[in-house]
Amino acid sequence: MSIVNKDIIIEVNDLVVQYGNFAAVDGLNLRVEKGRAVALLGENGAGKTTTLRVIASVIAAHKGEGSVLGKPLGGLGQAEYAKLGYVSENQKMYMNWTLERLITYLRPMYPTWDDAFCDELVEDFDLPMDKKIGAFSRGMQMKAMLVCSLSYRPELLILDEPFSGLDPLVREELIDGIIELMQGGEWTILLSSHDIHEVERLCDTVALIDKGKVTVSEPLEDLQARYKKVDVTVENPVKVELCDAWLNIETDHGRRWTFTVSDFSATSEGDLRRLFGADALIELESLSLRDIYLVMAREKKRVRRAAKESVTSTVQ
Amino acid sequence: MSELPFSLTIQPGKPAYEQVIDAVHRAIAVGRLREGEKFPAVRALSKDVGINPNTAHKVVQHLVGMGTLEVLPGRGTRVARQSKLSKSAKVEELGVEEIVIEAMRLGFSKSELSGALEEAWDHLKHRKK
Repeated sequence: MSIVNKDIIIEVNDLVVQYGNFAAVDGLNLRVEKGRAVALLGENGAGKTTTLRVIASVIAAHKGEGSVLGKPLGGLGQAEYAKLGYVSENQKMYMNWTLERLITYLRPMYPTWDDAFCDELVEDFDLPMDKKIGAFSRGMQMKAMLVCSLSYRPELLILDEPFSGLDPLVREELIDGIIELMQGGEWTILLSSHDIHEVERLCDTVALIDKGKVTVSEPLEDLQARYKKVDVTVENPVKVELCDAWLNIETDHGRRWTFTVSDFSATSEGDLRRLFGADALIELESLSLRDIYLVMAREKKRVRRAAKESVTSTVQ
Repeated sequence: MSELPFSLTIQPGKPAYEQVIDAVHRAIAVGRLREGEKFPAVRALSKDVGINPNTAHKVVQHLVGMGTLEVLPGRGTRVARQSKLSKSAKVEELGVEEIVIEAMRLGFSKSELSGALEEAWDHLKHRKK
């Protein structure tokens, strides 16, 4: 039994969005299969929010093509909006309205609106229907937005930083709520977040964004299978030819080596044995998504610094 | 209420799927999950642990691949028999070496370590009852 099927819900190619001279999104490609929960990870300013806004048709791209929910990018109509849920931390809410009024207002716009499900969510999230949304805490507002976006059971749910500013308990409730939703229908979720520990639980696919481009996009399990932390201890110091795929290398005078490999496979352990000798004590450790992200970020910084240094030395 | 025979809160540090696998093995060691017993549905695993359903599905597949669980036609996923487990397992994979190194570092004697291992064994076995 697999929940994932091969239908493509989102596909964008060579996407460009500029703010003045600055390309916030700069040749970005992304493909999301139906039933997947995809996390966009990246530094602030990498282009996550802009990408989500283009996909949700909140803003238009300057260049690029693709499709969302089977329609060309930017050409979503009423029917597609009714299948799309978009929740952003920057979203404006109807602060002077009660949640009850907001729900009454939204319900007729969505043919698939599910009253029973809506009631259930309101109850689960413990939201007061008769209080003004402006008087809600941030966490409650986020939950209220989720109620309004989930009650029509959208096929595609886009969440921009859904956990930011939420206290740990509310965060847990939100995660549990979304995981519960994923059980039932064939939901596809695309979210951006800095909370990598939460993302590891919630998502099954990771897309890394750097400077407006997707640099890595693959299932979480594949990513975790290829990244391994290696810890080698040898009796006598060895000189080893360093491999490009080794990251964050540290050695204690050649006696103990620690590094991360980014392309671990079935043959890798044998390769390590050949390099370090049959007597070497080799320990392998899997990494959490957070640790993989940090290894990548450090490596990126190192490469940038090295590039800068080589430019400087050429100038001199 | 949880449908799982074990409780688990995913902690930062180790990969989430690995934490679930460890928790299942622990549940078997202490007898909360017995040989031949039906293993919880992917849905229950996903909901109660709080992990993506696709990840929960992969965890079950992985446990089947390891020989911890077996899929019996018409009877669902069950905890595999111990004999089957021991055939596929190698004692070198237990990570005993690490424990020995740590014991040496802390200055324990060989018999002290053996004693501690036996005690831990009995403790887990005892909880089974």
